[in-house]
Amino acid sequence: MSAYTRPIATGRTVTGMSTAKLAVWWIIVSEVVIFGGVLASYIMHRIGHPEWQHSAAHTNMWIGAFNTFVLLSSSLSAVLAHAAAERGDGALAARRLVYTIGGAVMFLCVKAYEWTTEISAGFTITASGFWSFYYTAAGIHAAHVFAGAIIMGFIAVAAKRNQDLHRVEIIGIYWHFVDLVWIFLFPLLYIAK
Amino acid sequence: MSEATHSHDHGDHGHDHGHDHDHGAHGHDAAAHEKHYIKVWGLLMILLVVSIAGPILADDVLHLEGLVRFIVVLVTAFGIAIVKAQQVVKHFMHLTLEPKFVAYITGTAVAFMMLFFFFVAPDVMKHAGRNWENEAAEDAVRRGMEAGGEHGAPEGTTTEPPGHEQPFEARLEFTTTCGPCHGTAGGGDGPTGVTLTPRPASFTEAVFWEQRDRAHIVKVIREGGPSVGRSVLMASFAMQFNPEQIEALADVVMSFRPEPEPEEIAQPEEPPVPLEPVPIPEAPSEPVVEAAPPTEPLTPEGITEAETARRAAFIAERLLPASR
Repeated sequence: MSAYTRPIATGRTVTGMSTAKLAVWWIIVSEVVIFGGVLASYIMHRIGHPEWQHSAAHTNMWIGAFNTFVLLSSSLSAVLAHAAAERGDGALAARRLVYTIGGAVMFLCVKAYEWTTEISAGFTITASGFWSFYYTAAGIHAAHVFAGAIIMGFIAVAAKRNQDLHRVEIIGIYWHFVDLVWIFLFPLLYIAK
Repeated sequence: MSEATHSHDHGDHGHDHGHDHDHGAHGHDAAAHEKHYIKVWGLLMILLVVSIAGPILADDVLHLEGLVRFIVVLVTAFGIAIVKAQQVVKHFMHLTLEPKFVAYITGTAVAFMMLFFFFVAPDVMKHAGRNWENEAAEDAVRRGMEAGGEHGAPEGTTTEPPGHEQPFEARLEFTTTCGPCHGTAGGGDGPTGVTLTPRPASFTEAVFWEQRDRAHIVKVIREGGPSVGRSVLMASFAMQFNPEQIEALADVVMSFRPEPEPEEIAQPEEPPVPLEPVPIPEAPSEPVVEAAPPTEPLTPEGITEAETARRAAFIAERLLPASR
């Protein structure tokens, strides 16, 4: 690693796991509280407001289902990248990460199309309580997808040079969490009518 | 998954797998890993199909209703989401292969989320209790249900703007926006109003109407008290309501006007109760209203019960149907 100084977190394992991985788990812990808070609020309001069904009826389940498919598949390529990184095949890992990034881009494009349609139909974030939650929850989720794709890009570039392959697993853990959030958002926003 | 993932490090060795030799020696292990991951993905896909098919079957094929439908949707959509999540956590995130404390800290976060839910949910999910009532939420539900009903069966394909789902209810808006100061019955005796100096106008007194007409009311709502030389405490509502809504609010205010004595009727001046926009004289009306005395004593008179009932009946009869 010539001129490149490795961060301390990279090699330390005092907790029984690499500190970098532990840090990602801590991020996920805090994300659980963020998304958990939003989703729990959504659920209790949804139960208390039967009239939201009229708004919820306008979400497009097939778009949500397609995006679920895209995210689950991008998780597969992320975990396959991890498998490749584990056996030291940085080039393959990088390629598989690029597939995952492709999934992220696809997800965001579908989301952009979906939101454009809804907003132009008048379903804006202020239209009703349901739509406020819809755009807030899906919006912070999409922000996570966006951020994850960018970080994954950096990691893929390094992985291609066989640098820091352990990071492939770590970004994977984050990515699977983002997938996980969507697994719950999908039935909450698209199926429960 | 036990044999498929046994070669995962359990911690201590760090994670520089790029240099691990044992993995290189077990090429078939890596292949088994990948096959395992693809299998998990296949299972997730099947679960996804089930979670979509369940509610569709319940609604469109079996036409289930009530509790049975609820249970089918709950199990297929949400039960399966939990199974999917469990698969992802175990096989993709490898939580079970991390040191135990990782599961504990994530579990703690989930527990806090539950705690939050169960502490707050009773207040949010219910709108009334033994000695409390969340009127705003009840109103929201009522308005939403009425608006939803207007559109007939909720269907996923309409493109009607939702803004029209909640009609502007002038009487309700008066109660929530004007009522705190002017009183819900327009007597100038709202809970906030009694603390103000000068006191808010009382619309139920004949003396108030001696020098004011509908155009004046519209102007004050739109431009605020100072526009007619009155208190700054009466704000301008031009930003909050559109002209039509201001007209509707003026109708509400007009409805508080006491019936004029028979001999006073000079011209037919029945206030137009339905929401008909009346052309508002713009600037020229100002000098006329300037004549209003600056500090008119707005003494709230004692109102008899019979009088209150008469006014309530008047409001119910004239306004409630009109504001729908």
